Amino acid sequence: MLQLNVTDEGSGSFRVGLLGELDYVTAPLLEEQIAALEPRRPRAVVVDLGSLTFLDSSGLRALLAAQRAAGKGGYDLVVQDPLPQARRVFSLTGAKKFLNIQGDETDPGPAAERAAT
Amino acid sequence: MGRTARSSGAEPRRVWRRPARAEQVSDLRRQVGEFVTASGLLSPSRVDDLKLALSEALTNALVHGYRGGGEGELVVSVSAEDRVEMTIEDAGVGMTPHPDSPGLRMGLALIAMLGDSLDVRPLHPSGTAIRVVSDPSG
Repeated sequence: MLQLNVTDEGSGSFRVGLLGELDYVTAPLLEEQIAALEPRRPRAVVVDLGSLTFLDSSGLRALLAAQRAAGKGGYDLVVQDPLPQARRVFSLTGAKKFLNIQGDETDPGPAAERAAT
Repeated sequence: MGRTARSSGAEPRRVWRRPARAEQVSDLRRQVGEFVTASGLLSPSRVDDLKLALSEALTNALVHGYRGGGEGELVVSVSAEDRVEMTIEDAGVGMTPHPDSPGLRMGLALIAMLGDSLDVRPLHPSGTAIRVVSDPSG
Protein backbone atom coordinates (compact mmCIF):
# COMPACT_ATOMS: atom_id res chain seq x y z
CA MET A 1 0.00 0.00 0.00
CA LEU A 2 1.17 3.50 -0.81
CA GLN A 3 -0.50 6.82 -0.22
CA LEU A 4 0.78 9.94 -1.96
CA ASN A 5 0.03 13.39 -0.59
CA VAL A 6 0.90 16.26 -2.92
CA THR A 7 1.18 19.76 -1.51
CA ASP A 8 1.61 22.92 -3.60
CA GLU A 9 3.93 25.03 -1.47
CA GLY A 10 3.87 28.00 -3.84
CA SER A 11 6.48 29.55 -6.14
CA GLY A 12 6.64 26.32 -8.14
CA SER A 13 7.57 24.13 -5.16
CA PHE A 14 5.75 20.87 -4.57
CA ARG A 15 6.02 18.29 -1.82
CA VAL A 16 5.15 14.67 -2.58
CA GLY A 17 4.76 12.77 0.67
CA LEU A 18 4.93 8.98 0.49
CA LEU A 19 3.14 6.99 3.17
CA GLY A 20 3.52 3.21 3.12
CA GLU A 21 5.62 0.98 0.86
CA LEU A 22 7.33 1.69 -2.46
CA ASP A 23 7.79 -1.58 -4.37
CA TYR A 24 6.97 -3.31 -7.66
CA VAL A 25 3.24 -2.75 -7.17
CA THR A 26 3.29 0.86 -5.99
CA ALA A 27 6.31 2.31 -7.86
CA PRO A 28 4.19 3.25 -10.93
CA LEU A 29 2.07 5.51 -8.69
CA LEU A 30 5.11 7.68 -7.94
CA GLU A 31 6.14 7.79 -11.58
CA GLU A 32 2.60 8.82 -12.57
CA GLN A 33 2.53 11.52 -9.90
CA ILE A 34 5.84 13.00 -10.99
CA ALA A 35 4.61 13.01 -14.60
CA ALA A 36 1.38 14.72 -13.50
CA LEU A 37 3.39 17.60 -12.01
CA GLU A 38 5.24 18.31 -15.26
CA PRO A 39 2.51 20.50 -16.84
CA ARG A 40 2.62 22.71 -13.73
CA ARG A 41 6.24 23.54 -14.54
CA PRO A 42 7.71 22.84 -11.11
CA ARG A 43 10.85 24.60 -9.95
CA ALA A 44 11.45 22.21 -7.06
CA VAL A 45 9.97 18.91 -5.93
CA VAL A 46 10.57 17.38 -2.52
CA VAL A 47 9.84 13.65 -2.28
CA ASP A 48 9.27 13.19 1.43
CA LEU A 49 10.17 9.66 2.60
CA GLY A 50 9.63 10.38 6.29
CA SER A 51 6.65 7.98 6.38
CA LEU A 52 7.91 5.45 3.84
CA THR A 53 8.29 2.18 5.75
CA PHE A 54 9.62 -0.01 2.93
CA LEU A 55 11.67 0.50 -0.23
CA ASP A 56 13.08 -2.12 -2.62
CA SER A 57 14.91 -1.92 -5.95
CA SER A 58 11.67 -1.44 -7.91
CA GLY A 59 10.85 1.55 -5.69
CA LEU A 60 14.40 2.82 -6.02
CA ARG A 61 14.04 2.68 -9.79
CA ALA A 62 11.02 5.00 -9.53
CA LEU A 63 13.01 7.47 -7.42
CA LEU A 64 15.86 7.41 -9.94
CA ALA A 65 13.34 7.92 -12.76
CA ALA A 66 11.96 10.93 -10.86
CA GLN A 67 15.51 12.27 -10.55
CA ARG A 68 16.01 11.86 -14.31
CA ALA A 69 12.68 13.59 -15.01
CA ALA A 70 13.79 16.51 -12.85
CA GLY A 71 17.05 16.76 -14.76
CA LYS A 72 15.22 16.80 -18.08
CA GLY A 73 12.61 19.25 -16.79
CA GLY A 74 15.21 21.60 -15.35
CA TYR A 75 14.02 21.54 -11.75
CA ASP A 76 15.47 20.38 -8.45
CA LEU A 77 14.37 17.14 -6.85
CA VAL A 78 15.15 16.39 -3.22
CA VAL A 79 14.66 13.05 -1.49
CA GLN A 80 13.94 14.03 2.09
CA ASP A 81 14.07 12.25 5.44
CA PRO A 82 14.44 8.59 4.40
CA LEU A 83 13.96 6.16 7.28
CA PRO A 84 16.76 3.68 8.11
CA GLN A 85 15.42 0.91 5.84
CA ALA A 86 15.39 3.20 2.79
CA ARG A 87 18.79 4.63 3.73
CA ARG A 88 20.14 1.08 3.78
CA VAL A 89 18.86 0.50 0.23
CA PHE A 90 20.49 3.75 -0.95
CA SER A 91 23.74 2.71 0.69
CA LEU A 92 23.83 -0.91 -0.54
CA THR A 93 23.01 0.04 -4.13
CA GLY A 94 25.22 3.11 -4.38
CA ALA A 95 22.14 5.19 -5.23
CA LYS A 96 23.26 7.86 -2.76
CA LYS A 97 25.53 9.17 -5.50
CA PHE A 98 22.65 9.78 -7.88
CA LEU A 99 20.00 11.19 -5.55
CA ASN A 100 19.92 14.51 -3.70
CA ILE A 101 19.17 13.09 -0.25
CA GLN A 102 18.52 15.42 2.66
CA GLY A 103 17.99 14.46 6.26
CA ASP A 104 20.22 11.39 5.96
CA GLU A 105 21.73 10.48 9.32
CA THR A 106 25.21 10.53 7.78
CA ASP A 107 24.57 14.16 6.94
CA PRO A 108 22.41 15.45 9.77
CA GLY A 109 22.50 19.02 8.57
CA PRO A 110 22.70 22.21 10.55
CA ALA A 111 19.43 21.79 12.45
CA ALA A 112 20.55 18.48 13.96
CA GLU A 113 23.98 19.88 14.71
CA ARG A 114 22.41 22.79 16.56
CA ALA A 115 20.20 20.41 18.53
CA ALA A 116 23.24 18.37 19.55
CA THR A 117 25.13 21.31 21.03
CA MET B 1 22.04 -28.34 21.66
CA GLY B 2 21.66 -25.42 19.31
CA ARG B 3 20.86 -21.95 20.34
CA THR B 4 17.18 -21.20 20.38
CA ALA B 5 15.74 -17.82 21.14
CA ARG B 6 12.18 -18.69 20.18
CA SER B 7 9.81 -18.93 23.09
CA SER B 8 8.58 -22.41 23.86
CA GLY B 9 5.52 -23.47 21.92
CA ALA B 10 6.20 -21.23 18.92
CA GLU B 11 6.45 -23.04 15.58
CA PRO B 12 9.99 -23.19 14.14
CA ARG B 13 8.99 -23.44 10.47
CA ARG B 14 6.23 -22.07 8.31
CA VAL B 15 5.30 -22.33 4.64
CA TRP B 16 3.22 -19.84 2.65
CA ARG B 17 1.72 -20.88 -0.71
CA ARG B 18 0.25 -18.05 -2.74
CA PRO B 19 -0.87 -17.45 -6.33
CA ALA B 20 1.89 -15.73 -8.30
CA ARG B 21 0.38 -12.26 -8.25
CA ALA B 22 2.05 -8.97 -7.42
CA GLU B 23 -0.48 -8.03 -4.75
CA GLN B 24 0.73 -10.98 -2.64
CA VAL B 25 4.20 -9.53 -2.13
CA SER B 26 3.38 -6.93 0.53
CA ASP B 27 1.39 -9.38 2.64
CA LEU B 28 4.12 -12.02 2.41
CA ARG B 29 6.71 -9.45 3.52
CA ARG B 30 4.59 -8.57 6.52
CA GLN B 31 3.86 -12.16 7.52
CA VAL B 32 7.43 -13.37 7.12
CA GLY B 33 8.66 -10.31 9.02
CA GLU B 34 6.32 -11.04 11.92
CA PHE B 35 7.31 -14.72 11.98
CA VAL B 36 11.05 -14.00 12.01
CA THR B 37 10.68 -11.21 14.55
CA ALA B 38 8.87 -13.63 16.87
CA SER B 39 11.85 -16.00 16.68
CA GLY B 40 14.05 -13.46 18.42
CA LEU B 41 17.00 -14.60 16.29
CA LEU B 42 17.52 -11.42 14.28
CA SER B 43 17.72 -7.76 15.20
CA PRO B 44 15.04 -5.47 13.73
CA SER B 45 17.41 -4.16 11.06
CA ARG B 46 18.30 -7.71 9.98
CA VAL B 47 14.60 -8.58 9.83
CA ASP B 48 14.28 -5.57 7.51
CA ASP B 49 17.12 -6.99 5.39
CA LEU B 50 15.35 -10.35 5.15
CA LYS B 51 12.09 -8.66 4.11
CA LEU B 52 14.00 -6.76 1.43
CA ALA B 53 15.59 -10.00 0.19
CA LEU B 54 12.13 -11.58 0.10
CA SER B 55 10.71 -8.66 -1.86
CA GLU B 56 13.52 -8.83 -4.42
CA ALA B 57 13.17 -12.61 -4.81
CA LEU B 58 9.38 -12.47 -5.21
CA THR B 59 9.65 -9.60 -7.68
CA ASN B 60 12.22 -11.62 -9.65
CA ALA B 61 9.82 -14.55 -9.74
CA LEU B 62 6.93 -12.38 -10.93
CA VAL B 63 8.90 -10.36 -13.47
CA HIS B 64 11.15 -13.06 -14.88
CA GLY B 65 9.60 -16.39 -13.96
CA TYR B 66 5.98 -15.57 -14.64
CA ARG B 67 6.31 -12.80 -17.20
CA GLY B 68 3.43 -12.88 -19.59
CA GLY B 69 1.04 -13.58 -16.74
CA GLY B 70 1.23 -17.36 -16.61
CA GLU B 71 -0.60 -19.19 -13.87
CA GLY B 72 1.62 -20.29 -11.06
CA GLU B 73 2.41 -20.31 -7.41
CA LEU B 74 4.88 -18.67 -5.07
CA VAL B 75 6.09 -20.80 -2.17
CA VAL B 76 7.94 -19.19 0.71
CA SER B 77 9.39 -21.45 3.43
CA VAL B 78 11.04 -20.04 6.53
CA SER B 79 12.66 -21.96 9.34
CA ALA B 80 13.88 -20.17 12.44
CA GLU B 81 15.66 -22.48 14.83
CA ASP B 82 19.43 -22.02 15.21
CA ARG B 83 19.41 -19.58 12.28
CA VAL B 84 16.91 -18.21 9.80
CA GLU B 85 16.63 -20.00 6.47
CA MET B 86 14.23 -18.59 3.87
CA THR B 87 13.51 -20.29 0.55
CA ILE B 88 11.45 -18.74 -2.25
CA GLU B 89 10.31 -21.09 -5.01
CA ASP B 90 8.44 -20.46 -8.23
CA ALA B 91 7.56 -22.68 -11.16
CA GLY B 92 8.20 -20.07 -13.84
CA VAL B 93 10.53 -20.05 -16.81
CA GLY B 94 13.59 -18.89 -14.90
CA MET B 95 15.46 -15.64 -14.56
CA THR B 96 16.54 -14.93 -18.12
CA PRO B 97 17.15 -11.18 -18.35
CA HIS B 98 14.79 -9.24 -20.58
CA PRO B 99 14.94 -5.62 -21.65
CA ASP B 100 11.61 -4.40 -20.25
CA SER B 101 12.42 -5.40 -16.67
CA PRO B 102 10.87 -2.89 -14.23
CA GLY B 103 13.67 -3.26 -11.69
CA LEU B 104 17.29 -2.25 -11.72
CA ARG B 105 18.47 -5.74 -12.69
CA MET B 106 20.20 -5.88 -9.36
CA GLY B 107 17.76 -8.03 -7.39
CA LEU B 108 20.05 -11.03 -6.96
CA ALA B 109 23.10 -8.89 -6.23
CA LEU B 110 21.11 -7.09 -3.57
CA ILE B 111 19.86 -10.35 -2.05
CA ALA B 112 23.46 -11.57 -1.86
CA MET B 113 24.34 -8.56 0.29
CA LEU B 114 21.43 -9.04 2.67
CA GLY B 115 22.00 -12.51 4.10
CA ASP B 116 24.97 -14.56 5.26
CA SER B 117 24.63 -16.95 2.33
CA LEU B 118 22.67 -17.20 -0.91
CA ASP B 119 21.94 -20.23 -3.04
CA VAL B 120 20.06 -20.13 -6.36
CA ARG B 121 19.12 -23.33 -8.16
CA PRO B 122 16.82 -24.29 -11.01
CA LEU B 123 13.85 -26.53 -10.26
CA HIS B 124 12.59 -29.31 -12.51
CA PRO B 125 10.65 -29.28 -14.74
CA SER B 126 10.67 -25.48 -14.38
CA GLY B 127 11.21 -22.78 -11.84
CA THR B 128 13.80 -21.34 -9.52
CA ALA B 129 14.56 -21.71 -5.81
CA ILE B 130 16.36 -18.92 -3.96
CA ARG B 131 17.59 -19.71 -0.47
CA VAL B 132 18.85 -17.04 1.92
CA VAL B 133 20.40 -17.86 5.29
CA SER B 134 20.84 -15.36 8.10
CA ASP B 135 22.86 -16.28 11.15
CA PRO B 136 21.63 -15.03 14.53
CA SER B 137 22.34 -11.39 15.31
CA GLY B 138 25.04 -10.57 17.85
